[in-house]
Amino acid sequence: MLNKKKAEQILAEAIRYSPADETEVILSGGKTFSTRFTNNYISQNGAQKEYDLTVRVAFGQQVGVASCNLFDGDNLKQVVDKACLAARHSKPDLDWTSVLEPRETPEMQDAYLQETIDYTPSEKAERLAPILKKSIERGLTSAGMLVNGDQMLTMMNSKGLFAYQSLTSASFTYTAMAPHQGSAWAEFHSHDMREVEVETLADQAMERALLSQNPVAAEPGAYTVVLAPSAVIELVEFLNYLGFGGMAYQENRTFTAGKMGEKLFDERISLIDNPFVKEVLGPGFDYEGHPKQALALIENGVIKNVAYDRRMAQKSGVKSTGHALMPPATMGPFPTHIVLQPGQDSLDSMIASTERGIYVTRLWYSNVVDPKQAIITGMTRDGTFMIEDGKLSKPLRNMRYNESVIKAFANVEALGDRIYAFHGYFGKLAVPALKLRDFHFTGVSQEA
Amino acid sequence: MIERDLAQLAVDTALQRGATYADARIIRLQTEQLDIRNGNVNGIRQHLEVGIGIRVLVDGAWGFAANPDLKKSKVEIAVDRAIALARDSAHLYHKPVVLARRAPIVTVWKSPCEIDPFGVALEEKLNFLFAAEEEMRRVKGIAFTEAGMDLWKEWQLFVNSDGSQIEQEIVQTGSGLSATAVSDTDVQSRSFPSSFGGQFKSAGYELIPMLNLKDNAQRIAEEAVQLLSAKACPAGEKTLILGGSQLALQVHESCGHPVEFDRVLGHEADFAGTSFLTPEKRNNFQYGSEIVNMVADATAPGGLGTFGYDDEGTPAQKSDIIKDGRFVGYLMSRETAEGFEMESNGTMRAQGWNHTPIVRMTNINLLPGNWELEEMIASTEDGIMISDNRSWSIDDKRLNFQFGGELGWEIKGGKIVGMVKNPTYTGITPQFWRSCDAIANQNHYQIWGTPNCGKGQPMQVARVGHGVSFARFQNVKVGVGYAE
Ligand SMILES: [Zn+2]
Repeated sequence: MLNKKKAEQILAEAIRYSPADETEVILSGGKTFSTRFTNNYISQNGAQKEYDLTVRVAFGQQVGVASCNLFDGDNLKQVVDKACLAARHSKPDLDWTSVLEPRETPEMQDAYLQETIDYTPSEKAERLAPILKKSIERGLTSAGMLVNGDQMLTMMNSKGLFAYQSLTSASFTYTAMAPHQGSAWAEFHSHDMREVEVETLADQAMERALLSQNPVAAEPGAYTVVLAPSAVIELVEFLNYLGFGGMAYQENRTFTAGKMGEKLFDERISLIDNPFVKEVLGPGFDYEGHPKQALALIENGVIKNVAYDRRMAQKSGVKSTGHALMPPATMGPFPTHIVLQPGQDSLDSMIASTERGIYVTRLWYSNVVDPKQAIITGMTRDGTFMIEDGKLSKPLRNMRYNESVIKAFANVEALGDRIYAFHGYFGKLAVPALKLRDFHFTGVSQEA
Repeated sequence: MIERDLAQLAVDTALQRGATYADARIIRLQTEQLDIRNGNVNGIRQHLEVGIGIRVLVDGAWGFAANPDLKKSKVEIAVDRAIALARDSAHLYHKPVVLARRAPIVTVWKSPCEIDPFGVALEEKLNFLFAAEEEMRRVKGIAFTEAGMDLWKEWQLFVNSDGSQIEQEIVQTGSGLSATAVSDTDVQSRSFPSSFGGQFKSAGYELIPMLNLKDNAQRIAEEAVQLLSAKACPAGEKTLILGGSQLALQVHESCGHPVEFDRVLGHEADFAGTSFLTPEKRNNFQYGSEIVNMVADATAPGGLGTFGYDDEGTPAQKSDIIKDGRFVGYLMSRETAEGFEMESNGTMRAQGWNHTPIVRMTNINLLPGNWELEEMIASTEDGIMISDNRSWSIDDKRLNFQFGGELGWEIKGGKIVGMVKNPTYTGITPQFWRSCDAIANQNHYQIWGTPNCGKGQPMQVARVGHGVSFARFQNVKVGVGYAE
């Protein structure tokens, strides 16, 4: 890991090279050590290291961005020159506002765990060995990945703002497949390798894979659904994408536009963005160096806030919430560390209280059908079951859903009592299980 | 050290330290992205990266290490790391990988490029975009407009322990427009030449003016505004005509991905998924109607998936995937091909220097038929025509799909009678392709670039292409998605 001092030197040197009126420099990246297994053996073992330096300069309102993965001496100077050249030959960005004044952005000291980054490929192989052995013994096929790594984000601007944060990461994703179209899934993410419950998760998935064999087709229609956290995550990602980006909001493209302060969801639904929650741990500042704090997006079903960076904040006449993405951030700002607050119910009790419904392990390959109505479509994956009389009664073929996330989060029957961490498109998310009524399935995956 | 010596050093060191096969790729990638929004510069980004990726086979297992630092000492460390990783893979229940030796190839290959896009002045590029974008902004009722350009130049040196030394330079360019109209209940966009950034090809800057952005700007902006008040796509079983990037994406999702042999073997089971096209189906399964012919063609001029050699040093090829409707071939690597008595057809590709190669699409092309588009429309009683994609979704075996387009044209009694909004359709892959009863001829054919295909763990993004004209499908469920 590039340490704080070395990073600070590189950033300061880049700023010294810049003749621009204002300059922001970001250094980000890290290492990834991934052990991938397929068909019950380790199929791919990789070590990757990547850092990128991004320079944004402004002459008046003429802005340019350049980035590079070489940042010693001449290369550093060249990337600054490139950004300047781009800016000087550009047209003014009328929404550009001045870089931020320096302020305190405290560094989290316990986000970087040496044991996690030092975890070796041999240790990972040893950890996986009993799982793969069991998988073979049970006649199953296992695939997945165990990864450790680190990430660093540091930024400096020409007014003297400096912020630095490094974090470690550990991830386990696991698919168990049984001979007769059985499939199950487990995943776990943390900044601490010690927390990754590889054995337990794999064991549970193997049992589920055996149960999910010989699936039958259910009739499409509206069902009560119990969604595992690994299914809920897909709905929350699209809730965020379609609702809470400041640029899309300002352009009246989101389902939240004109609905600020309105209650759209069940009152148990509260969504926050907060990088200080353990499950979604992240830097306490954004790509402009703006400090982050907990931001309520939905509170007891009511739309409370959307995310802003300084450019969109200026344009909308509000304050930045600290959600700038990597320059040039053409999509505008978005929440990046999202938590759907848990409720009171256990996953088992959600199933037990369901007379007739469908249990979904994952929703997969979802995409937008209608942005304003927030309708999305996708498929179930890795274990879909009919629930009858409070029990998983039979495995089902994967089903296609078409549902509005607005309706989904209004139709809440129960909310899980524990949140689980996931990695998403814009960053990290943590969600509990959910029980929803009237969830629409429109098709089945089946060869004619 | 010069790159050639450094890559050779990496391979030689790997062999000395126990590898039975090794390859090294040094890459220098230069990109430029320009984004214009509402007459304003929304972002100009230039990017450069350099690095080396080293792949070794030790005791029948793979190890891969990548490093951005091209100092000799750092490359040696990366080789050691790759060897150690391979050994860590090898001691656990592995199935030894065997690679047949190949005759060495020593060559230089460059994609055709008349005008180096990085030699064109930034003002010229911006002026081009602003001029086209302005035409859209003139249209009343438009909420915002976007224009973008994406330029790419990758130099790669590949050296392997078979004695191959292959140098390649690939230049790719692309550009596009989109206009969006917004009401309190609706958002409607139209794009040109294609949605999600435009059209991309292996070509120099000479491609950009040929895309005719300015000439189409006003039309698409007007269509976006009209879509707000257009009638909704009717629901029911209808005839469907697909063209342009929508047909390209249909080929991508329902043919390109399921014929990736690594998916079939379960290598993507934990991420992208597997495939319904299992090995016993090869040469033995009616994938589509008899007029459906698809090829994997890495040699197609201008394709975004065109190259000289893949990232294992196998020459670019054109091979049959679907022949007269029958499923006949997979996309294969040197490894996945072993044991199935099929040879690699040169489809191993990696994203940059920092990833290990995996099986990838090249240009997966639906070969043209013999219809005129006008005839296809004239012989359609009750149908919908869609050309530009808005939304896509398909299951992990690539059977059940649902797509949405930006705009649908309704066809009644052989004539286009009007525009419909939010057109969607759903189907099951082989049923859908078996219902294909007309494919337009060569005059309507072009290769569309898909620059954002995701696959692999850690995830890699590939740039691939799809040659298509127009195709017609019968009894397709359209107007889905608004379930009550
Ligand atoms: Zn793809």
